[in-house]
Amino acid sequence: MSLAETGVLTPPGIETVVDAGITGAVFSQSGLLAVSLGDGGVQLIDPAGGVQTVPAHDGAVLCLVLDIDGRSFLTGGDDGRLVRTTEDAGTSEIMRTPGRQIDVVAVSRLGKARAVAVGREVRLIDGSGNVRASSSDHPSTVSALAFNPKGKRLAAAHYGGVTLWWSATLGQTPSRLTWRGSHIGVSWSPDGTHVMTAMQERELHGWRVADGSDLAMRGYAAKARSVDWLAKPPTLVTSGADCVVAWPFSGSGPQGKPPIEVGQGIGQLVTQVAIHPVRPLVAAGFDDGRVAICELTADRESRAIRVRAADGSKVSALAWSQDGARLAAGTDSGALSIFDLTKASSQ
Amino acid sequence: MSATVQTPTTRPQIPVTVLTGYLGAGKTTLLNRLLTEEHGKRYAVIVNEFGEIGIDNELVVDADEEVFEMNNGCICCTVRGDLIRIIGNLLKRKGTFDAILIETTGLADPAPVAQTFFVDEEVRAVAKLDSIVTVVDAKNVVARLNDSHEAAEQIAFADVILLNKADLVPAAELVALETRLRTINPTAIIHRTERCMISPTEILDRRAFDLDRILAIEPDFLGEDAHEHDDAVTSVALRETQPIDVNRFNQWIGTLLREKGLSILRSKGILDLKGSPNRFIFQGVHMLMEGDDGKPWGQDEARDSKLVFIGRDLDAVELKAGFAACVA
Ligand SMILES: [Zn+2]
Ligand SMILES: [Zn+2]
Repeated sequence: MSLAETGVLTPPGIETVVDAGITGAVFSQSGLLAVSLGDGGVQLIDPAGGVQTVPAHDGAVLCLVLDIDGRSFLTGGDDGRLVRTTEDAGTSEIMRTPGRQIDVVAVSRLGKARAVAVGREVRLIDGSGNVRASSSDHPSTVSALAFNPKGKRLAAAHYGGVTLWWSATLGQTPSRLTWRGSHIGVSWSPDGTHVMTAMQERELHGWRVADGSDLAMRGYAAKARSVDWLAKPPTLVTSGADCVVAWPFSGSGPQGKPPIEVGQGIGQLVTQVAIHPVRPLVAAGFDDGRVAICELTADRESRAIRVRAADGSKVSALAWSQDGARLAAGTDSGALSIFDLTKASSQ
Repeated sequence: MSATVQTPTTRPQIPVTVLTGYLGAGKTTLLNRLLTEEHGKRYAVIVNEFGEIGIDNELVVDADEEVFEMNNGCICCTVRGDLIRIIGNLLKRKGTFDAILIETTGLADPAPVAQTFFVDEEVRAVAKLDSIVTVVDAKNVVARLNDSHEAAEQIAFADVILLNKADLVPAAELVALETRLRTINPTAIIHRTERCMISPTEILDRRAFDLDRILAIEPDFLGEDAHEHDDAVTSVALRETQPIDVNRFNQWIGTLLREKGLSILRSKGILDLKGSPNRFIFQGVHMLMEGDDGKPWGQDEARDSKLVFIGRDLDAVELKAGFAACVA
């Protein structure tokens, strides 16, 4: 079933255009939305639509995550800085590495740890901003970092696979998950049993952590740069194709089974995916600016609604508020839509 | 899912210039010159020795040359992983660039840099390899050519060669030197420079102009030594005056580069394809190539097709016969 057949929803919300491309979006626990921009700014937008703009970086903000406290935000920039922005728009510099692009940052709220990559070095930074441990024991630049769900282990992706560290002993006794090729993204399954990567060669690779056995999923049209996980049943949801491609990890795992595909029919590349925090829904952003919300279901035909029309720019950021009531979508030309789905009505 | 999707029309590709050359030849001098002179242009610069650039420029990015083999298992099919990441990040910046400059380390093989722009779709969508500029030290390039493979490869890959420190070498020696460089690479433009003194327009955003040079090259007269097999880097230039059949050509060049791509460093061509009103322009590095429609042929223009191969152990007779068989 195509999106066009299922329907179009026009939820009320906020539509704005900022004058730089949007590079990231995330909601805090209290519902404050942070949006990072290509001009170094971070916009803080409250539920009523009030906006504060914080000049966090010189040059582009390359990554944006929610900090340990769940209330403030961490950004890395192509000015080589790692910056913390608080809800009241205060900023503080946590790290400065001139000439480096800081594009990889991960946070574990459970483990109370932040990790940042600087070339092939990974640094663990504690809540007070001190470097607790660091290691350059990676074969190439670290392209992605992810803490496991409990925050005790850290996966670092690079050429040739993934290095696994224990957060408590980073720098000592790494374990390696190896697979030839360039790994550009990494994530853990919600139960912590699998580590999955996106690859330069337009495929997914993965390992069962317990025994290091390999998984591979192919057939993508582009690199699967944006991925997310549905917790129950554990399902890996990915961009990189002309629909949302989801791999169920329950039972014997995804190997040798066809994936669940939702959001077909648009004929455009999915560039961003974001799983709803409560319900089995996935928001998908497309290469032409469209955004759809799709049911993630294997046992019957999935329903989908389109909430944002095509405008020719690429969806470059997508985030749900933690209660799942609002969805923010940003594009690489600076269009920002914030939908309030509690008030939506079908047309 | 389907393996192909429509891509919306995108902004024009940013021209990329690659700077190669041995340590001490003058690359850093050239970079500093490009970054400091008033030209009203915005360049992003990717360097391998951040400390050497004496300028505090926010658009200078430090890179580690990370050459990755692709999954096809072939040793010549390599890309620069760091460039894919850095260029993706640069493009997130507000505003665009007039050009991207990439400096490589002294001994670097230029192939992985060039191949990155052929292979990676995200990079290809935003940036295009414009030219490879090789800076050589006129005083000791002969010694380098005699004692290393890399020096000849950097000459072979060049679209523009700066024969730097030309003021320190007698004129007669310079002429001999240029002749030697021409046997390796007949398509490159050679500029004699002192302290890399050259206008940015001579090395940046050149593509349209430089391709015309391929047409100007005289095809080789294939004499006795055309079957020579040796390790020296040489070139073979071919010409056909009859229109070329696109399917035959694709078949031939595909097989040729797959089988001999290790020793063919560069290939370039402008083709008159039967049934097409436009020139077809292509360039290859080892086994990888890209092709595009060029400007249309003029109404009364004499059409022909030219190909240049630069590499080791080139069999000119075989290449000529292969190209001749592509005539429609
Ligand atoms: Zn190869
Ligand atoms: Zn022969």
